[in-house]
Amino acid sequence: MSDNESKKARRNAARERAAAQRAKEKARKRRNKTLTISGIIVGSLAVVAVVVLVIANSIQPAGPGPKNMASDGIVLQGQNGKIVPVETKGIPEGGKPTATKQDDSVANITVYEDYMCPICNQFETGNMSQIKQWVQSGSATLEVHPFNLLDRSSLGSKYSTRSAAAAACVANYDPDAFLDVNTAFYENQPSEGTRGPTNAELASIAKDAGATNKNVASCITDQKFAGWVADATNRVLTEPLANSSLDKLTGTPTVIVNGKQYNATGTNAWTDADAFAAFVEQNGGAVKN
Amino acid sequence: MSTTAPTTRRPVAIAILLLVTGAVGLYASFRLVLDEFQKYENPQAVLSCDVSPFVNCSNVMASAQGHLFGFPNPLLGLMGFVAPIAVGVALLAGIRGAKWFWIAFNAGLFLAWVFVTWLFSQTVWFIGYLCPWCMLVWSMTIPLFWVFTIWNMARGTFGPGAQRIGKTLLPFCWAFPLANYLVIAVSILIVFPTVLSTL
Repeated sequence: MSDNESKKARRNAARERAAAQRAKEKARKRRNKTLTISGIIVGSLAVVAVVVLVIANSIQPAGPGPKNMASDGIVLQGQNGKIVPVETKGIPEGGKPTATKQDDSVANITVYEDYMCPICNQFETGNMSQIKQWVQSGSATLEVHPFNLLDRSSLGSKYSTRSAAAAACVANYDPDAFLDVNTAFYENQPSEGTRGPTNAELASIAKDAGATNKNVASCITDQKFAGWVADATNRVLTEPLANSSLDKLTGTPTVIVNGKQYNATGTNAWTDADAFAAFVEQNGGAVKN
Repeated sequence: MSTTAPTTRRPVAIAILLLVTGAVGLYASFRLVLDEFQKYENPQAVLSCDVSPFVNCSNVMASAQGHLFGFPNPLLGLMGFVAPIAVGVALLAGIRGAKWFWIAFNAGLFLAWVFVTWLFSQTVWFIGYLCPWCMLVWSMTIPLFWVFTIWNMARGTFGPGAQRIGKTLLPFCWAFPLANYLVIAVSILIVFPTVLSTL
């Protein structure tokens, strides 16, 4: 009888062990299944995110950069008492800009600007007529780099990108009118926090300022160089600025004369033409009027 | 029988999720309210969260979207984030709760998620700045809503059909906030391609 009992107990114990084993096995399988599915989820989410980013990036840079802006900026110099743009090819698609070769015997003025930026406007209104005189007389060159740092200030209309792309159209098709259009864009500068002129309005501002080439208007309304503006902005925000010791662009406007950055101090400093003239002279610019 | 044991076991994991996301969200809202005060005192004040051309909370707070109901949004957060903390504590204390209680709380979380998603789309596409404290609020509301909703489904609050779905999804409930985070991160990288290099 006791023999019988112990047999039964042993059988029960064995059965329980087997059941525990089965339960453990089942739990293990379920855990593995959960882990496998989790891995698949993480993997596919990562793949989707990367694919979307790659597609978005490949859509943005559209075609080559504007002509006469091989350095991402347009260079203006004096020739027989007139201001003429230096003609260059555009940056090829996917290519890099070519830094301007500067002649150290004159003042090489490089301006990085955003048509939305009020201080850029102050610099323009205060200094441009003086700079024009210097360039005309051959004692200075001017290199203008429009870019789009302040896109966020135009309520989603991306005025900075649109105006910079419009300026690139003028550099490409009607470079002689570039400086006048540049000035006109500042005269029509929208206040921060407004949408700013439409593309069609930008085209008519450019035309009124003298960019009469028939391709300019459609180039502006099609935003042909918006991709270039994004690339050029990315470059100045991440790469060292050519012909200077600056690691990257830190503000608008950034004005560089023969490698030295001009930092205006004081309330009216950006409009102060005398202060700027003194700075240019200090930095090797043989400025004579 | 011991079959009642698992059902009365306190759901510690979900309670901790509610407590942590609630507390962090409350802190972020609180900081935003303090910043708001600082702006009232001195509209030109540069806030600690104004760190780069793209990462800036002053402009987000000053926007119309930042005062959707006529008062600063973070005041809503200051009131709302108390709820998950209270419910989390109640869960730890062993609350069972009527069905309507769980449905109402879940509805509140859903509204919070809708609001946060709207704010995300507004700041990224229309205001054009990223605001760190606001993003902390988003990042707390998102797992709060997704994980709690799935847990609530698995619990049977929304009927047996939803319970089956909830039980299947429960082991993978983290995937929903993760996917939600990725949507936001990818959108930010597309709209602000230079954001990482200008920090």
